[in-house]
This record gives sequence, structure tokens and C-alpha cells, in this order.
Amino acid sequence: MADPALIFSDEADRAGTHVLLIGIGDYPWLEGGAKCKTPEHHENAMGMGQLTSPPVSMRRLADWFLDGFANPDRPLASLAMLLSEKKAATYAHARAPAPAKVLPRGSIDDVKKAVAAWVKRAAGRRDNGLIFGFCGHGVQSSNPVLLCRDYGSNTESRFDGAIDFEQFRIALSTRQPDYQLLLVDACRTPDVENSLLGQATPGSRLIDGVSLTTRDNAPAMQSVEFATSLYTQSWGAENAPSLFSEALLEALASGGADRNDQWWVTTSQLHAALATYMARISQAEGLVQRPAAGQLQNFRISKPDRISVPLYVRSTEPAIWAGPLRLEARRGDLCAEEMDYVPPGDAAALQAVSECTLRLTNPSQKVADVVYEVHAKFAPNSPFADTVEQIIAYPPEVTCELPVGKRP
Amino acid sequence: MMITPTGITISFGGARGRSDDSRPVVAQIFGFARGAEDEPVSHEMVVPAGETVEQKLDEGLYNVQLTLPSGRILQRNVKIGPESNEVFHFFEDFVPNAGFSLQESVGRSDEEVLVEAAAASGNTSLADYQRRMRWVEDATRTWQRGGPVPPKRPGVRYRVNPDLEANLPAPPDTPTVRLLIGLAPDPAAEAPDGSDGAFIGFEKFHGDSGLWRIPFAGPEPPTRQTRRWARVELPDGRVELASLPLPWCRADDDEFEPAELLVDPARGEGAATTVAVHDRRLGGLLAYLDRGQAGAAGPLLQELESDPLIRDTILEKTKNPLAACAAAYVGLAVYPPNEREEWDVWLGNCMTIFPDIPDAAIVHARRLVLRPTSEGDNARAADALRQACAAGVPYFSTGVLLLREMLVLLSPDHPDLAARAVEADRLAGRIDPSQAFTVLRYAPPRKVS
Repeated sequence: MADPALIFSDEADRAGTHVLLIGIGDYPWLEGGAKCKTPEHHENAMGMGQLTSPPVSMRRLADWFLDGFANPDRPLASLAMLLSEKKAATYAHARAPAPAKVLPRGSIDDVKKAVAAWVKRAAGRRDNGLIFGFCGHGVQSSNPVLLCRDYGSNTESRFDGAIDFEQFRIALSTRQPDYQLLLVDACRTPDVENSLLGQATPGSRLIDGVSLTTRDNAPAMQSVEFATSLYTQSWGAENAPSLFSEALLEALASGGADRNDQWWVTTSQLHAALATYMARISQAEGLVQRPAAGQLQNFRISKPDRISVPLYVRSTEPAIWAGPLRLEARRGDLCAEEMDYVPPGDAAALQAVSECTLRLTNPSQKVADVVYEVHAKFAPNSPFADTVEQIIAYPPEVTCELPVGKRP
Repeated sequence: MMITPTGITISFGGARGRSDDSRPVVAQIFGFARGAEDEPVSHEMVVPAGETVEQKLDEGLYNVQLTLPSGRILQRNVKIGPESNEVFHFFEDFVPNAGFSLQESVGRSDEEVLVEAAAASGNTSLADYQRRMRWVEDATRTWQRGGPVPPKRPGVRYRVNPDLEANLPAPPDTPTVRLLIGLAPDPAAEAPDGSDGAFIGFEKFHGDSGLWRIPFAGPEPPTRQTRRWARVELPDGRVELASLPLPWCRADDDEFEPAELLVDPARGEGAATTVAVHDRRLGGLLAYLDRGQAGAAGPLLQELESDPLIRDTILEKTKNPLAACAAAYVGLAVYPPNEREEWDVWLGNCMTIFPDIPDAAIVHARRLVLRPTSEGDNARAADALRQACAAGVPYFSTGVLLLREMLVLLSPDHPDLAARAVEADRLAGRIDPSQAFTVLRYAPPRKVS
């Protein structure tokens, strides 16, 4: 393994999926960074500081690729990762080489080398797949500009440490593998746009485009998912996965399973699942963040063994959340999922309760395995009568509005 | 609305509390009729904005999913009994403020459009002005009632302006718009000064944001010499050049429609100027382009095949070549790249008939690049791109982005395109990609001290 970013490789002679993940949290030349010392550094930082969410997000995504990714047509063939944390990062996993090695830290040179090695690994077959994930700072300047670890190190040319994502994407589309999925979790705010009007987008394209004759004259199929829409911010919690990563992991695991394509997670259904989950996740945080599809060509990503569907139980009668109740999701005679709801102690928290969440896992997608009865059983002293509602549990999510009546 | 037994009625009201989402949504119904559970039932239909759609269903259990323009899925389960008459009115519950779209708002009153745009951008210029006016009026009334109120703290003097009338605040500065004809903007140059352009009167102002309608009923398709631009000068000195999609012949009644121009100097991202046209039949497609997301119309694919809006608009290209280009942009974004369409070949004709419309050459090149049928197609696409560059700035923002992408894609085989790709990149650096029609932005002139 000459590529220092490579943490998993399967050399089998078959079509496979090659993954490259980049999580940049430590930015030495941004606010709070170890090398942010001069007024020029502060000016170039434009208020951007240190992040903890990107490495966590990319580690979780790497875990999923090693444990959950299942594509019989293109199984995982390689996984490479770059992480920028305060200290040099390692990544340990049962399928990764032991002892865990130190990963490249995500400077623009590290990224260029990792991208070159990744593209080369995937170039052997047209039917391979590429998956690229970036999580870190970004700005919009005509194109999305993704900031590497060393953004701002050269104060006279701060974007030396940045990626011109659009030029990279176009160049990548001239390369061999037919299926290319790109996931970008970074802000797209126009911080530098007005100062760069009429200029070429800054940043490196990472690789050169090659003649389309090497690809029978047509560019590769690409699907691009941005964590947030144009000119808006992307959010993440401290030391936790970003909001987009939370949604992405859920969508990849089975939320993006496509009923019209034998329950494969496809790129178009992935977008629908991301949009669905992000609406709920960002709303819960009091934020507005809508994922956006840059390109949306449809192809298969993964085929989950089991399909798991979040079930949101609501009621026409909000007062039911004031007392304890038992919720059961029954499939035939089997209680597939249950929970005992206990109302929160303080009034403000109680007022915020409007639904309960259960997670349903369908053994198959046949009718007997997707139709559930949702039972609500109230305490003996409750004014409400027990109730039941039938639902079909299909991804990305299902809601059940319980019709509740008073006891006679 | 009541429905016949064993059926449902679906409607979509957009974001709750808003009524400007003109884009249709797709409903999918999947489920199991009683007694035939092994044969799942599946229906797909488009729900036009503000309309209801009925679907008959046998008794059984069904899952209704609505795919919104954002891609988000709303779903409900429904049990259909012998006398079910379920009416489902869906709303976008989350993210109530999805941003303002002029294209989705055309046709509403000017005041409504301006107020909603100001709310979306946070433009408080009118409120600020009115607040200052009220202060002066209140102060005048106090003065007229017998002089100032004595200060509560000793030593604090009440500052009296004896001439309150003279202290009335000036109304906020407003943008000005001039019409320029036959302009060929150079993205690398400064903004054209526009002194030879005629001022255009506004329709309505709300604080410092305003609406203009610019008519043009020329029977001929636009040429480089007749192409119309609006030069917008903002109060802070910034200049924007809006490409006007004129003449615009409406699809449903052959009437010429003016270009609508909204200028909101408070808009913090993208351009302050937005352009739209009022076209009932094509409004939905233009709304997708206006969000910078032609591909988001993907879920409508089935409907687009049954109601061949894209095909018909391209076929009737001589009536409105700009509409044909808009339809082609959406069609190329939503149809699978390896699928051949009846209208593929018409795009080549469109380029030939309208050599001065860069977008006609761009959609033709795009089709050739996505769906090459022979080795020579990329050379033909390169020729189309050269023609597009010669014809000037694309009318559509998405055209600018596709022009740049294809110039970059083809430059390894056609090195002369590399320099054009650099030019296109500069041009892309001036546009607002979230808008349907091209608006070029220029920084205010630097002050020399």
C-alpha cells in the first residue's frame, strides 16, 4: 500500500467501488489555529475557525463503507481517507491494516496525491465506481471552493490550499469509471464572490481532464450531492457528525432504497431521502439546511440486506403526550417494535413533544413484512381509549397519525 | 371537494403560509387492495400547483408519497373503505422560507411581490424610512402642542430643531434601469457605462426595491443587434446587466409577454436583479431553472412524457426560440443521458435557424456530448460551442455553466477551446447561478481618494 491514505484494498479482479473520504477539521491558518498569527491570516480566515465535526463525520462514513456497504455488482475495492485533526490521525477497524497507520492530514498536496492514487486505482475498469466525500470548510465563488488544511498558509495566494470543485468534477468525468458519486458537506456562502467577480474560480482542479475518446466520447455518469443549497451554510455539532452526515448515513443504510429498482439505494432516491431527513434534522436544530443535487444521474449505490424505516407516531389529539402510554408496532402476531413513553417532567419540554419515533426493520419488502398495526395503549387512569392504526412502512420514513378518542 | 367512494383526492399547497410555489409535485400511490394483497397497486401522477387530483382506488391500504421540488418526500398512509372519501392536502411543513422566486410569483400583485421579496431578503428600507418619517411627524406634533417635554434628569438639554420640516429624511435612494440594445458585454471588462441607453420607468417601488416591466413585441427572433439588456445601477454604485428574454411569445395564446425585472438592493447573495416572464404553460419549467436546479424536475419525467411539453416547445421553436432552449435545458437535465429523444435532432435545426442565440448552440452541443452517436459528434459539439461563444453571452444562467463545462470537457481534443473555457469561467464568475436568466454583476467603481 504505497498510498498513505489507503486503509482498505481488495485486489480481486472484478468491478469494484473505490472510495476517497476527506475530513478537514483542524485548519492551522484559520481563527483559533496554531499558525493563525498575522493580520493577513485573520483577514483571510473571513471568520472561519476550527471544526470538530468533519473528522467525526468521515470516520463514521468509513465505518459504514467497511461494515454496511453492500454492492454485489461493485463491492468495496478500496477505501482511502485523509483527516485533519489537532494531532495526526489514525483510523482503526477490523478490516483496516493493524497497527493503525497515521493518515495524511489533508493539505492540498496530500489531497492531490490521494486523488491521483484513487483515480489510478479505479482506472482499470470502466464498470468500476468512484465515491468521493469531502467534509470541511467551503465557500462559493462562481464554483464551490473546498478548503484544505493549508488554506491561508500562503497569505499572498490563500486559495493555493483549496479545491475548485467544479473543475475537479468536470475533469473527473473524463476519467475511466462510469459511475461517480460525489458528496460535498461544506458551506456554500458567497463570502468571496463579490471580490472575485469576473475572475476565474480559485483553487486547484486536482487532476487534468483527458480526451473523451478514452471513454467512447461521452463523460462518466455523475451524481453530486451538496449538503446545502447555493449560498447557504452547512452545519455540524461539536465532536459529532454533521447534520448532513447523519442524514447521509441513514439514507445510505436503507433510507434511499428505491422501490422501483429492487430496493437498491440509488442516487436519485438517495437525494429524496437526504432531502426528507435533512428537513427533519435541521428543523429540530432550528436551522434551515436543504441538500441540493448538483448533477443527478441515476445509478445504483448499495443494496441493503434489511430495510429500516423510522416511524413517527403523531396524534390528532396532542394531549395524549401528557400521560404515559405504550406504543407497539405489530406485524401479524409479532410485536416488531415497542416503546413505553413517559412524559417529560417540565412543562416546556412537554409542550415540545408532538411525536414519538420507533424504528421498523422489514424482514423483506413483501406485503406481510411491510404492513404494521400501530397500537397505542394508555394507562388505566388515562381519559383516552386505546387505539390502533394500520400503516405501510416504506422508506425513507413513515408517519402514523393515531385517531384518538376519549374513554366512555 | 368530495369524491366518489373508494378514492382519494390529493393537493399540494406549497410551503405552509406561502402561496407562491408554482411547481408541480409528483404523487406516488402504492399499496394493496383487499383480497389481492399479492398484487401491489401502483399509481403515479403529477399534482399541478394549486390543483387537486383524484385517484380511484379499491378498498385496501395504501401509502401515498409526494415528491416535492426540493426532493423531499411527504407521505401518508390511507385506508380505503367502502365509502372512503379521503382528501389529502399536503403542505411543506419544514423550512417555511425556501427563498423568494420572482418566476414563481409573476402574475401576483406588484405590492405582494415586492413585500414578499423584501421579507425574503430582509430589506427594511421602506420600514426604516417610514419609522424616520413617523419620528419627524411625532416630533412636529409635540412641538405644536406647546414645546418640548422637560427633561427628567437635571442637566440634560432637550435638543430642539426649530425647523423640523427641513429635517425630513430623504427617501431611500433607488436603483435606476436603462435599456441597452445590441450590447455585447465582455466579462473581463468593466461594466458598460450605459449613458446611451434609455431610462425605463418603474411599475412600483417598495422602499428601495422596485419592479419594472419591459415590453417588446418584435416579430423576429432576437439577433445580436436587437438583443436587449437592462443596465441596473444600484444605489451603492454596483452595476448589473440583465439579459432580457425578449421577444417572449407565450405558449398558450401567442401573445407577447414583457420581461419582468425585480431589483432588490438588499439581496445579500447572488444578484440584486431578477428577471422572469409570465407564461402559464411554461411557468413550471422556468421555475425549475429559476432555482438553478433543472435536474430537480426529474420526478416529473413520466408526466413530461404524457404531456409532451418539452417536445412541443422545442418543436415550435420558431414561435419562441428562447422557450425552446429553456425546455431543452430541462429535458437534457432530466432525461437519462443514454436515452435518445425525438427532439434530439431538432436541437441542431434550432442552432442553424437561430445562430445569434448562444443557448441554441449550447443545447445542441450538450446533446451531442451526452449522447454521442459517432466519433465525429464531439467535433460537431466543439463547432457548436465555437458558434455559441461567437453569439455572445447565453440568455440562461444554466447555459453559461454548461458552456464552461463543455469547453473544459472538449479542450483536451480541441485545444483552441481552452482559451474560450477561461473566458467562460470568467463569465461564470459574474452570473448568479440560482437564477433562470443571465444577470452579470459588476463591482462598484473604486473610489480614488
